[in-house]
Amino acid sequence: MNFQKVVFAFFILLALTLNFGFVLGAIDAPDHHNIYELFAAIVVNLIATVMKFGERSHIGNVLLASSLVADLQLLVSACIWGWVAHISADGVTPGAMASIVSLAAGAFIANIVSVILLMVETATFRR
Amino acid sequence: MRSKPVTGGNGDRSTDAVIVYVMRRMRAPLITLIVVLSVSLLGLVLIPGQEPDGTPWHMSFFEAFYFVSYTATTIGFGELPYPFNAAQRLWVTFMIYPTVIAWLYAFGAILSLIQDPVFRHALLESAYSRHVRRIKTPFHLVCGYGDTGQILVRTLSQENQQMVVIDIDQGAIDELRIEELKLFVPGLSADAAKSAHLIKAGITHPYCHTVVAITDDDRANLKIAISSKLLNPKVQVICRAESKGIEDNMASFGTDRIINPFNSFADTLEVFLFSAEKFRLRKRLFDCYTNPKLPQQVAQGHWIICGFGRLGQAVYQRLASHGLPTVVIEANRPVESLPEAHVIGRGTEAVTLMEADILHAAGIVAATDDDADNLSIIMTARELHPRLYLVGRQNVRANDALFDAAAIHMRMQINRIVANHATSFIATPLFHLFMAQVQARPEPYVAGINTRLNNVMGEAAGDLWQLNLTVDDAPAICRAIANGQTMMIRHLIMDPWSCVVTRPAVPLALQRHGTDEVVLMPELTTQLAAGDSILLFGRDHKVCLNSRFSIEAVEFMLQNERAAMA
Repeated sequence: MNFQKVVFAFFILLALTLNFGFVLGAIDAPDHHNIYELFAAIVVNLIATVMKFGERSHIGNVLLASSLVADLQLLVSACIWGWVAHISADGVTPGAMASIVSLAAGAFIANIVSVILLMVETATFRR
Repeated sequence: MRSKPVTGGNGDRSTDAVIVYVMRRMRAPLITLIVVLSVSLLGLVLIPGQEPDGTPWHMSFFEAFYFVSYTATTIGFGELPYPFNAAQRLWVTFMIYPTVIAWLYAFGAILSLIQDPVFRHALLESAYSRHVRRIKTPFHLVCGYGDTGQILVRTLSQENQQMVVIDIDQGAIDELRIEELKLFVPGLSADAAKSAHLIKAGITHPYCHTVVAITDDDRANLKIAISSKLLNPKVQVICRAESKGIEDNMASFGTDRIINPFNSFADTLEVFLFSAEKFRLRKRLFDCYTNPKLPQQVAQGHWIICGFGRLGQAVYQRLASHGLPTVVIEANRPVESLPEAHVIGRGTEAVTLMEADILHAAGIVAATDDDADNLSIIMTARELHPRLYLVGRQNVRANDALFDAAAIHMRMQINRIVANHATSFIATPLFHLFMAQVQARPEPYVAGINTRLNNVMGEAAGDLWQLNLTVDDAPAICRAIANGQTMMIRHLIMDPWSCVVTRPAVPLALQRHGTDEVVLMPELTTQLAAGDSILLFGRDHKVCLNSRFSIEAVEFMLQNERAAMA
């Protein structure tokens, strides 16, 4: 067993599951989307990104790219949340919530790509 | 120049590999930072606080991120937006140390990685490759940026020749970066004797025109020459070689030009002693031996050669072939390798020089490979025999001032000889064909050339330049020829805006397109064809060349001439 590989796969999968958990629910209902889950998704995604730094294989490069896409989407959705909650006069309206969740849903797709690539790499691995 | 071994041998690693390595080393500091910051952030959000009026309040992620950011970076704006309660302060006390430490650790680690010499070298290398890839004009690859390389690069950049430089010593490349040149010259610090580095330096680039191997290591030059010929057979290779064996080896696989500074200087000395007119011409056209004090008459008598190394032997052969008596002074070589007339000693002491009969000598050649010895020989010899003709070898460019002060009649500067030859091979290749032809002619013929130069130019100095009638180099002239106009050599030096004025310039040689034959001293009325090359010597060569570029100027000139004839 390779402990490093376990940790690597763990973070990539966790990034996907947390992201999915946050996106799940009616798109414009603030009650369905937990801010702590978004926070956890961002942190785990960032860690997963850094772990993909310095991979030399071609698949490693695409993995890093998909992770960076997920980071970007999640950070923008968090920024929008911060904006509507603290700066805009209207507060967290269903419309604002919908755009936050749709951005996170984009990150979810990128995370799915990450996991698929991970599976492809595992399947083609030969001893 | 090859002088120091490359540090750490990092030249072999590819740029990609270094960047991957640096990013991998960034993992630990970055993950530490993310984990520590997110834990403290989460704690701040979870711990309940109060507003000043007592209503319960939870810090938002936004406020917590703000607080952690200014705390971790030790900026510390205070407790915002409301004063903390005891539980919050307890948490902040715990988190403040790890966050500050994590921040400093990550910051320091990333900073030191960026400053890592290997990483910086990789960045410089990739910048170099980028520059070379973008070159869209023919360029010359100069291997070795020592004294010789510096002179060469400076001269060629004056001629608007595009160059790139490779040198084993990072210090030399740093000097290149500081140097203020007319054109930007990218430099790579790597061992040019390794073919991978030559490829990186641009040898296989479609616009690579010439490779100049002028490191001070003969074996490295040989390796560069052979790699160049194998990797890119089209490229012209100019090499410096200081020993006969290496020179023959280079010639065997078709190195285009080989510069042996010792032979070349001995040739000049021979020409000086035995054919004065050829020497005058050579000095006028190609003044790379500074200070040949002319017209000092060399007295009758024998010559003394101090040091029987590569230069000493080359000079000895030339003098002996003309039957001039010589005495060799040498201390370190076995007696059987020395000629019959020899004195064992160093030549720096009066005793040895007297033994060589200096009082009846005509001249002395200080040819050792030590500048201090050479200066000492010159000074002692002058003391003993003030009318002696003094020839000195200067090995190191840093001693310029000393040799200037010594007022030697003829000075051999290895670096200058190699650089000037390389420059002329690149900028005026016809010159060498011209000189080879002149060498075979009798003295009176050469005297005629000298008179011609004097009549046109007077005593003024001039430039040597070569014009190739190609579409790139002389578009206006090529167009006129293609349109059926008659172009003659005199059109090249005529002021296009007035048919009367001609620039002071003399055509020295003409090479017809596709032939190896060179016409010496062509007439001004010789008709030109596309693809011809002309070697000219005169003043204002920049003005002459510029006007050849303007289609209007050439049209105007030809029309004016037709009108005058009609």
